Amino acid sequence: MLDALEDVDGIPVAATHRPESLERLATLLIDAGKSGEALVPACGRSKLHWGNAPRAKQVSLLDLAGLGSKIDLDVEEGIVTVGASTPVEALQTAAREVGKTTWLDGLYPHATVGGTIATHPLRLEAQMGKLLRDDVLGLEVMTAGGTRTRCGGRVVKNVSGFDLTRLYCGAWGTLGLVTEATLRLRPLPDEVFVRQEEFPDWKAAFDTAFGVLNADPDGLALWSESGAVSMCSRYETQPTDGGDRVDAHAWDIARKRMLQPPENGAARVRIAGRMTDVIEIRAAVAKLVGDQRIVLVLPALGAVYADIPAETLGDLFARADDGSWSVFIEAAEPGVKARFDVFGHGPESLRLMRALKTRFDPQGVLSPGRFVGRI
Amino acid sequence: MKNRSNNSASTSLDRPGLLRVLRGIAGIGEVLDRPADLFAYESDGLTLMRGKPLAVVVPLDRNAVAETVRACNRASVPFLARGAGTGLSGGATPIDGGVLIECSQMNRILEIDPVNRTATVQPGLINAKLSEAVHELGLLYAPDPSSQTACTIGGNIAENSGGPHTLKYGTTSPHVLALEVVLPDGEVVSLGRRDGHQVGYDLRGVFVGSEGTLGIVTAATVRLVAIPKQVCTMLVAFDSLRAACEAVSMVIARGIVPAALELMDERTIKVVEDSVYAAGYPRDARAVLLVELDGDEAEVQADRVRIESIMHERAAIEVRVAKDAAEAAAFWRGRKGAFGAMGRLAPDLYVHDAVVPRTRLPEVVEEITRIAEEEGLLLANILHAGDGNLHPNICFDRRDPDEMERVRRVGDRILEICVNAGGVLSGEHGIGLEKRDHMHLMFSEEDLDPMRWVHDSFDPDDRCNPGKQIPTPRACTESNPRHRGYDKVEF
Repeated sequence: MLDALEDVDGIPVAATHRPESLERLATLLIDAGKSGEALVPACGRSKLHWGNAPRAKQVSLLDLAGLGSKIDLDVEEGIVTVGASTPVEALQTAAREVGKTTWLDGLYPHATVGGTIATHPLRLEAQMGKLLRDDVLGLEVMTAGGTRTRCGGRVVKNVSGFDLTRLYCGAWGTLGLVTEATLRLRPLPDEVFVRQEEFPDWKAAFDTAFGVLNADPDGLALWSESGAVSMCSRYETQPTDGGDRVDAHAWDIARKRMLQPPENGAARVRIAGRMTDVIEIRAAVAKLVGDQRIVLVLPALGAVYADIPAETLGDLFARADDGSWSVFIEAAEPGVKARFDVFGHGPESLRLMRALKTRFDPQGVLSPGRFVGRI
Repeated sequence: MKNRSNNSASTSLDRPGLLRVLRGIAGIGEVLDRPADLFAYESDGLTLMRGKPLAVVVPLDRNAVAETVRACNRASVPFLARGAGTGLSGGATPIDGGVLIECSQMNRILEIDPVNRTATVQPGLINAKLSEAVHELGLLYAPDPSSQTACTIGGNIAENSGGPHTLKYGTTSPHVLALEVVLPDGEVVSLGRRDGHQVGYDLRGVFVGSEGTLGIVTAATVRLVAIPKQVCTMLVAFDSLRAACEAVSMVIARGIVPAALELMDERTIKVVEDSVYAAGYPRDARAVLLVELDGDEAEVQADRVRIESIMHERAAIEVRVAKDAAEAAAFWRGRKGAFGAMGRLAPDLYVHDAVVPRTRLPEVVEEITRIAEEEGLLLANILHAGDGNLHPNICFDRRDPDEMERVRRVGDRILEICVNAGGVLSGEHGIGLEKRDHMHLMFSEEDLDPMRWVHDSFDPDDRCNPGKQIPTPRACTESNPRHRGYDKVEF
């Protein structure tokens, strides 16, 4: 069990519940609905610092680790059914043993399957066409009212009713708690090829990067260091466009940059747009805070990660005001979260989102205030 | 959000008044209300079920769709959208007394962005036209329903359509980045983002496949993919369907992801070879498997060798690799023409659609075939075998009431068998009217409630394609739109 936590983004933690069964979890939810208790689900706590501060005077942590791990691999069907509190690393290890993998990102230490599905982080080893939500085939979800429900299925193709799996993916547990998931298994690549190059400036790096994109890399990251721009591209099949190759572990440099916490109270921010927008996003961020605060530029994902001082965040949001880019504050001090919605400008469909939250969680039990528009 | 309401929204309309208002909306191409004009719209591709709309409206732009929806709301009249009407589950079957909004004239490509590999299109664009338009750029639109030369992108979005290449590329949903939709109250809103970065709940994701019950798409930004550098198409013949299914499972288990794995049974092979779609399939085979690989040359060649090895291991009686594009096209001509060829067997065809775990395919197909034989029905199987998606096709004559009853009985049994085998009701045709009342086979009332919450969040007045897809709670059947006469069907 992880250490006790005193607060979530400055909101005191009044209690930590650790249900050992789904029945107990249901009871906790029902009781919370009656008492007005705000519950914040947590398991590996790898992303507990993400999201807006809870809208409550105090919260109770819902530690789902007590529900236990479960990994049911079905290699012939190409699927795995896994308990939500299973660590991603444990799942990937089990999958590797049978020559498979999943699109769950194990970047964040202690991350669990349920937490990763709920927060739906960008995978570094991906392009925008390969998102986790496309590989979630079925879910078991405990509703805010404590009812155990299922959506999707255990087959790889399914259009039976509304696609609720996509709704729950990335909903941050505000619509229901994922307790089990069925995922597609992907072949483990026989070999990973990584190429690392250096460029004197960003223009030269981008010129090459957009050529590299035509070779469909399974990861492409750029960053600035000591005045030069480094580019690392990763392939799960041998690239056909030649070039030097280095050890596959070179890709770990990119991953490690993501794990370094921001310094001096800065906020870790993801600014995202279309692939071609990263050139302009990078330039805008560099103009605001300098290249040294850019963590990674990910052209295949159309995303730039940067550490932005609190006093500059307002300028960044203003720059993205026309909606052409999205801005997401991944991690920040509570003071920053009090000033900004970490999800940036809410989409024009926010009214519908609020209506959904009201229908799914009428008592406002599940992570109130933590989602976009402080839903 | 845009255009949420107008000043006249609160003024109610009677039905003659509604027709007058519809005819006065700018951007409406036609308003049809003569019985002879409406006849063609009484069903979609599922001709077993029919309805009689009050009128058919043909809008030319987004505003006309929104104004039509608002007018229907003022008249308390239900409405639904239709593309080409090729759907096979009754999703676009008209609602008796409702307004059908026919989107086929909103068929323009609004923008192509070759660098970011996206296109923005209107909903009435025919699926295949998009790939044709971007071919010279080295791109294609991956979702490829068998009806792709007729079906529309809007209809594909409503049904989350798949096709033979879904195995590698997925159904429509992963290819849709953003939607502009007219909500059931007439408001125009964007769902998703053209860059694919969702902010908030994935409303785009839940809208795709909602069968027109949550609103009407007026524009969509979709993802394009690069045309594969190399394609290898193989025809593999087996002396049993079981052996072919086992070969499919082995391909998947060994980590190969072909672009397509399509299977046809003996009856399908013979009817194709007797038809104008003859593709040179071996007539003595009990099953023919089409395997398509695509990607880089080295990857495709390596997988081809592995596939050939698996096929021989599973006792294939013939493995034929298309020597050129013309031969590959011939292989596909038979598969894609198979549904049409079945017209040789009977005047009517009921194209069923369900999914089972891949490893259960042999036993499920055998059981379905046996049940059809017991009922004296002709049944031919086409399978997207790599996905476990089966299409048992029942050939029948609707003029024979007894045969109709047997068709219905076998249809129900097919769904029960598939769900009991761990499968689902539909892989690509959707639920519509056809399977709405079978949803309880797969979902409990508690499972269905979140779908109802979604529906009620979008359409609290239940006017947008009511009575489709999601069954009304069993305790509340008196409020079911079906019982309000909206969807009188003949089966």
